[in-house]
Amino acid sequence: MKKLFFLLILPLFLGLVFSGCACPCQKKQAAAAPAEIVAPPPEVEEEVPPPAPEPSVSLEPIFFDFDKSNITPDAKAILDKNAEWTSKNPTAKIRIEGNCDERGTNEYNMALGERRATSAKQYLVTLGIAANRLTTVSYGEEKPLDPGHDEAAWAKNRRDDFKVIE
Amino acid sequence: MKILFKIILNLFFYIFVFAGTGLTQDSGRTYIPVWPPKAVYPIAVVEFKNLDGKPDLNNTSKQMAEIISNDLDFTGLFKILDPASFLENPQRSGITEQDIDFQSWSVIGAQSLVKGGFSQTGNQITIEARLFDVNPPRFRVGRRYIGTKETIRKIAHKFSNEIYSALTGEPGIFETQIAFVKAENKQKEVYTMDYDGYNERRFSYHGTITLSPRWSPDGNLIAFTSYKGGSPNLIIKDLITRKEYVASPYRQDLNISPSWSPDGNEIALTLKKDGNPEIYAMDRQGKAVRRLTKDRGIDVSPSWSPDGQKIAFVSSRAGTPQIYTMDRFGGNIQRITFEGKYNSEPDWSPRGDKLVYSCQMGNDFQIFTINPDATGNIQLTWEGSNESPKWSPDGLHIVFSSTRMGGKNLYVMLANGTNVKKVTKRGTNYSPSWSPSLP
Repeated sequence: MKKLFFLLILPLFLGLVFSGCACPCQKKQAAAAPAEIVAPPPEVEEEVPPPAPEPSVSLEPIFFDFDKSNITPDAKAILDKNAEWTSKNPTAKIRIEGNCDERGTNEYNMALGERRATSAKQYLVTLGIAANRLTTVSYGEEKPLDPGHDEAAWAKNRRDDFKVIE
Repeated sequence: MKILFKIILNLFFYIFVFAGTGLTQDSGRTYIPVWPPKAVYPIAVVEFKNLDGKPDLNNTSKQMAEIISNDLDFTGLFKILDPASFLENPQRSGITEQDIDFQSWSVIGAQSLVKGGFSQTGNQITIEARLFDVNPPRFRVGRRYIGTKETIRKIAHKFSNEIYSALTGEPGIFETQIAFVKAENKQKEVYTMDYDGYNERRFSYHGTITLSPRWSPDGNLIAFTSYKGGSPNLIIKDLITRKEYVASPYRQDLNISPSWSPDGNEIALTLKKDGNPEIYAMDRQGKAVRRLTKDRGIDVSPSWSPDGQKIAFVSSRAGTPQIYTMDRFGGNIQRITFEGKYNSEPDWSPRGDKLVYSCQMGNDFQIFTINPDATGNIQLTWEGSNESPKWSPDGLHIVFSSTRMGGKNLYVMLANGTNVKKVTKRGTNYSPSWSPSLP
C-alpha cells in the first residue's frame, strides 16, 4: 500500500519540480525585458519599363500535339511556305516563339516550348535557311492565343509563332 | 538501487500519463507534438483589454485575438474555444496571473489561456500579451511590444510564435512570407505577402512575364525568372535594398526553374546551352556552371534535398514527365514516380522525408506526396486543378495554387492534405514560394 502510494505521488512531485522551476525566472524576464519595437517595412514604388513593341509582320504559326515537340505533316507544309518567304527576304530575321496550352506545369511548359521552337528551327535549317537568321524563345503557357479552357482553345495554344524582327 | 528502479518506473508512468493526453515530455517540459496534427489542445484566446480606455479606433482588441486564433488554428494542433463560452468580460477582468480567475477558464475546458492588453499614445500602440496554463495556473510567457496600427498584425504573429514555441518546443512560422506571381493586365509580376495572405506587396516591376520566385535560404533574396530582356532570364533581387541583377549565364537564352542549394551558395536551374533543356548548377553570379543531366528528354524543375546531397527533378527521358532524384553531381539517377503519365514540380521537404509534387489526372492536376525511395505515394487534393506545391519552412504545411473556387488562387494546407485555407483573396495568383523563417 505504502509502495503504491509512493508510486502515485512521485510523478506528481516530479511534475511540480519540472514545471515549477521555469516559472519564477520567466516571470522576472517578462517584467524586466524591454518592449520590442515593431516597425512596418518601408513603402517602395519602382518604375515599370514600357513594353517592347510587337513586330508587325508574322508568318503562319504551326501547331503541336499535347506534350509533343515533333513536327506534324500539317506543320511541315506550313514550314515549307515560311521557308520560301524567308528565302525571298534574305535580310529578314525570324524569332520562333514556342508556346504550350495551360495544361502541364509552368516550368515544364517553358522547357517544352523551347523544344517546339528548336524543332521548327532545325527543320528550317534543313531547308537551307541560315541558322543565324533564326532565334528561338519559349513563352511556355504564359501567352495563350485563346484564353479558353477546352480542347479547341488548347489546340490553338500549342504552337510556334514566327515573328519577323528585322 | 531499489529507489533508482522506482524512479525509472515512475518516469515511465509519467510519460504514459502524458502520452494519453496527447502531450510529450522533453527535458522537464510538457510539449504538444506537432505531428500528427490532432486539433485537440483546448486554448482560449481572449479579446485584448483596453488599458487606458481611449477609443479603440483600430479594433486592436478584437484584431489581436482574431489573428492569434487564426495562427493557432492554421497549425491544426489546437481547439480554439468559442469566445461565446467565456464566462468573464475581457474588458473588466485582469490580465496578470494574480488577477485572473483560472477556475472560470478551467470549467469551460481551457488548458491554456492567452490574455493581453493595450494602451495608446498618439499613433503609438503598446501591446502586452501573456500565455498561461490554466490547470494548475502557471505563467508561461509574456511580451510587450511597441508599434502602430500598421504593425498590429506583425505583433500578433510575433506573439503567436511565442505561444507556439512555448507549447510545442518548436519555432513558429507565423512571421514567414510567401512570394508568388500575380497576373494582371497581361503582366505577371512577383508579389510577396504574409503567410496568411495579408500585407500583399509588389516585388518585381518588370512590366512583362515573371515566373518561379524562389526565396534564398537566408531569406534576403528572391531569385525569379523574367522576360524583361526578351528571353527568360534569371534575376536575383534583394528584399531590403530592392537592388537586382541578372544572374543568367546565357542571357539571350533559356534560364528557368531556379532552386537554391540549402547553403545558398549554388543555384540549380535549366539551361539550353548545349542544345536541349538540361539541369546545371552554378554560383549565384551565374559563374562556375556545371552540367548535371545529359539525355534526350527535357530536364527541369530541380529541388535540393535539405542536406544538399541530392536533387529531385522532372525528366521526360522515359517518354512522359516523371520525377527523378540524382546526387548533387548528377550521378546515381533514380526514378521515383511510376503512377500517372505526367508528374511534375517536385519540392523536397525541409524535413527530408517527403517530396511533394503535382500529377495530371484527366485535364486537372492533383497534389501528391511520396517518399524519396519511391514508396508511400499519397494523394492530397481532389477538387479543381492544383499545382506548384511548395513546403513551409517547418515542413508541416504546403502552399499551392488551385482553381477549386474559380479563378486561380493560393491555398495552404497541412502536409496530410487537411485544414485547407485560401490565402489570396482575388485575381490570378500562382507559382508560390514559402520564405524561410525570417529574422
